[in-house]
Amino acid sequence: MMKFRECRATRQEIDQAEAGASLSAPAQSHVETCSACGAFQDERGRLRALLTSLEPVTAPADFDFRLRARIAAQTDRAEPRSFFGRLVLSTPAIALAAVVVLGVSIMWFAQHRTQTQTVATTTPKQTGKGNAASSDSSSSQVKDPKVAESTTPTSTTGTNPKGDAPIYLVRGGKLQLKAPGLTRPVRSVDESASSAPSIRQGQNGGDVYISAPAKPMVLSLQDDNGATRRISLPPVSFGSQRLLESRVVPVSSKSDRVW
Amino acid sequence: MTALTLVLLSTVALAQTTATAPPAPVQSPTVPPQAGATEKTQPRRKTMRVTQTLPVKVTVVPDQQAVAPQVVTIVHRLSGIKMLRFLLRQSGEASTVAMIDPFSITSDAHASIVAGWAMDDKTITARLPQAAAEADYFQPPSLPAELSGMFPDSGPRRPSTAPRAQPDLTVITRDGRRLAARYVGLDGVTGLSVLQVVSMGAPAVPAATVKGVSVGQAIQLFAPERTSPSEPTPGIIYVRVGETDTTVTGVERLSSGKLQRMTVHAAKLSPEVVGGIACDASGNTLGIVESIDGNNASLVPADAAWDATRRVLERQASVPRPLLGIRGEPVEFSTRRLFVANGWRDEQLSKLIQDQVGILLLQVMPGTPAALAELRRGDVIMKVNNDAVKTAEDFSALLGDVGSGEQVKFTVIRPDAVGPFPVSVKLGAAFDRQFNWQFEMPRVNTAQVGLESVGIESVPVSTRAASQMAAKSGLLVVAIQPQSVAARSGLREGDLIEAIDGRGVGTGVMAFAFEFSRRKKHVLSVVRNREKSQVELEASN
Repeated sequence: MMKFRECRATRQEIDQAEAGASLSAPAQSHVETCSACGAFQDERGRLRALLTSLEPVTAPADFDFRLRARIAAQTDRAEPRSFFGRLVLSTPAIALAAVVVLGVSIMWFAQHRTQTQTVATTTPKQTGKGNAASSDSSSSQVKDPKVAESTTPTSTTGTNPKGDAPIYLVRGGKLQLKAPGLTRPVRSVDESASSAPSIRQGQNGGDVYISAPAKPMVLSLQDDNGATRRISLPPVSFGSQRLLESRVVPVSSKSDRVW
Repeated sequence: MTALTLVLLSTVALAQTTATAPPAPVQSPTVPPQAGATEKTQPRRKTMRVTQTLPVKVTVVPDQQAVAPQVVTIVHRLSGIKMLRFLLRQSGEASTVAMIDPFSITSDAHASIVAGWAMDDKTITARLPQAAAEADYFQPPSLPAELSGMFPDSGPRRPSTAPRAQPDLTVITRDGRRLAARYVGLDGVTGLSVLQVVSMGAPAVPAATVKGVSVGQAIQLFAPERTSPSEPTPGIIYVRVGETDTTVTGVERLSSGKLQRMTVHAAKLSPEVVGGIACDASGNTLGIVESIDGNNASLVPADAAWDATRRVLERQASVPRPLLGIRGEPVEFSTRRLFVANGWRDEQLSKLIQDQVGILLLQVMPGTPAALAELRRGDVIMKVNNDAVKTAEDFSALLGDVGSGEQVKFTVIRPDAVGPFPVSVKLGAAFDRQFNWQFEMPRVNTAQVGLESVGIESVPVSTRAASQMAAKSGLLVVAIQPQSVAARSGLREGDLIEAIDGRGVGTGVMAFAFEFSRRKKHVLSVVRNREKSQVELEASN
């Protein structure tokens, strides 16, 4: 019992000690005699060293803006939480919900696998008037002419015993998978398709969707000397400004020019 | 009235697909191009991983009280492969792709939002920042004479009649209409791009008589810019066409009196104003912002923009700038010492320096039109056709008027020649600015030159990058020349060429030239969407 108390006090002192600071004499002598506390001290030391070696984390440029916006949004929504609300957000309730979701997902996958062994990659055509879908007709493999009017698959992967490619239908903004050989399409929802509205030329105040990326495109280029340059391209830019500074251009103050 | 058009860019989170894990990337249903367009647009193939891409919503709030309705907003979307092409063309250096996300190659990677000048109800001129990615050109291979016969298709590019893959351009007018635009071409002299739409339905404001521009005049620059409304919604980027008040600080004119360049000063200038449209108080267009230096901006005058538009519309294609292949200095700035250093005798200089006419050639680049016409260092070009050359700007403008690929007659004086004599030169063509500061012959990468002869612009990729595309090594196709052998054979941008006629194109293979023959069928082993296939280059007659 006595040893346990000493261990607890020593470990508390180890935890609270500044990096590089020495322990008190009793704690030090305890560490020397107690192998468990010695190991604990070593582990904490390594952890501190690891933390010190990390580079400082800098917030993104718009962090302040986003933080304030989120605080404002949360403030607007802040209401006294009811008993039911507290219950729903409690850890057991979340765990239960996770188990249910997992179970449903497993069932869905099992059902899905029995119906088709192929995976389709499609580009559905937007059904709105004046709305054209992006597709590559050269690689289209539409088998059902009735469906071909409303879908434009672009490519398929995997194998299918019948050689038919599963296709997607767009119905009311929802994406449905229709597997070959099935009379009823298997319902599948793709949010990226459901939110694209029709756009007509000349309409005012409507929406235009562009598929800009969520994050910068990152690539590395290596020159002949083996020097590698990492380039990060922002998803959106304004004006005709240079996205990247290319190599340094010698500035000549002379009046000579090149034609 | 500052904010006239609001462009609302909102990101909508996509649901993560829970599809089984196929070896190939999942192609997501992507956002359609400008569906309201009545023009025919080339179908765009989108291959992307759903989890990596968010759709962006652009909402236009129309405002009929726009001061300058001819200023439009252009949204230019580019795929990863186009951005890579842009970077390679911009740097002008031989590079290897060490790392790239394979899924970003064919999906949208970047959207530029820039100002455009509606010159009439269907023609728009703008400074597109990534125009180099869209310009459909190949630099003619510069080969030693003994190798010139190796590449049968390496002659001057024939004009293509095949429809090319159209850039993804949306024009948003000040009153909120959205139009799909067709990219006509890039003007190499000014760097301006010309777009066309079916019709904007409203007449554009005509350009002002720019001769009336004077130092001290107040003008405004219109350009899309970020803004923050009083109650911003998180995750949304707000953009408007903003105005910046400036004052004209400099006006450069040609000897003919034509306005060549303007400079303006503002209390504060943002890089976003580059490409903006300069208008006077009445809303007449005065020019397009070319560059900024601190709080000073340089403008391409409206007249020059009109000329650029005319050049591009006449050819219905990109127009490279004329290339002569010399480094020179106007006589008005040349010192007596400089003349003597270039072969002139002191007694020859009195009249020359007094007249201050001509361009003194300081260097002639081997293999260029100037060298082929036997121009030499020390020569002074006095006239272009029948027009006297007084300044460097005059010379540039006169060459620009002649145009790339055209024949021009110079009147030249030479230290050891008696009197002026004519020299006929067929001007070359160039888009790259690299030539401006790197006065040496471009390095010849024989492997890529060989591929270019069949219409393929490519870049080698590292083993690591290749493995991400399910290949061992290879050359990534960044552009296909329309109607070329490669285009006709079905090769696509984004394909990775692993082997040519069974020979792997690893790093070592770059040392030799591929000998493409018209009479022989060549087989390219390519990886497309992580799947291997073979493309047979058709033999031409």
